[in-house]
Amino acid sequence: MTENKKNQESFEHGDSQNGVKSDVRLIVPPVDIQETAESYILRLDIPGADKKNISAQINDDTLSVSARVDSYFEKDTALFYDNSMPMEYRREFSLANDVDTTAVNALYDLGVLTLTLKKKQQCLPKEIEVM
Amino acid sequence: MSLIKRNPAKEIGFWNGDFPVSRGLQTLQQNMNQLFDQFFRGDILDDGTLFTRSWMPAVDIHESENAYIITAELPGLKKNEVKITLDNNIITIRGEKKDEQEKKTLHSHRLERSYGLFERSFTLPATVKTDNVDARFDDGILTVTLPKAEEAKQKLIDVKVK
Repeated sequence: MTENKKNQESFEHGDSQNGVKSDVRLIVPPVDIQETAESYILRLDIPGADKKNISAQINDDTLSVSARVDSYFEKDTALFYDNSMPMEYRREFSLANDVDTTAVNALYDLGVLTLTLKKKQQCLPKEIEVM
Repeated sequence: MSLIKRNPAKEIGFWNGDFPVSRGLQTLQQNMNQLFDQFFRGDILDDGTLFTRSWMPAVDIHESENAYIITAELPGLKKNEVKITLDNNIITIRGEKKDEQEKKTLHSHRLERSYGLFERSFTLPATVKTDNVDARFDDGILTVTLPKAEEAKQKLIDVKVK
């Protein structure tokens, strides 16, 4: 379970390098990655998102998480000088070989996205009985 | 974060033969770095108290026609873990984010998220109606709405040109 550094870099600096003016604020959400005997647990801070605007995808051994937060305000809030841009949260991770990509659980609560990735059955520690 | 300030006193010390200049500067630099790191991590609160484990949530303050709106990013906190107090014209948001580590963790690969105590205070303009403050907490975003007093609202006056 490591972070996909190469992609990380490309989306952190990509837009400015190409000289394209971006209309979203790209944010790399902070993450906690913890490993237990049966699974990996990822927690990402993505405050203020709508559940339907969050996506998590697994492609081969890469896990991509992205979310869009348009604004913290209701549409009818008449703000003076609101120059805030929509926020785009993005982060990619390279998965370890022992992750069972068919058993991934995602939960968004209190502004935190929690992904639980189960380890493959054959990779779990086994008790071997001594005859 | 690194910042090295020239300290003539330390240089004098060197000439007096008190201690080598390199060592003095090194400690000074270390102290300064520590101070800066603490400051930007939010370890020192407004009233000068030092917390060993604290963080500083991001806050935006906007103004609308009728109110000032404070939004704070507090992901992972529950409604009852945040306290807002209003003392005269100072609003204080404080709370504590509890550690959510799994009990059976074998290994923590990354721990980038912030835990612990936090406190942020803001001085409000005199024109806020402090008896009518509204606070909401959804999906880790705290929104505090401070309505403006009547006299502070924008008034449009037509100026007639003669």
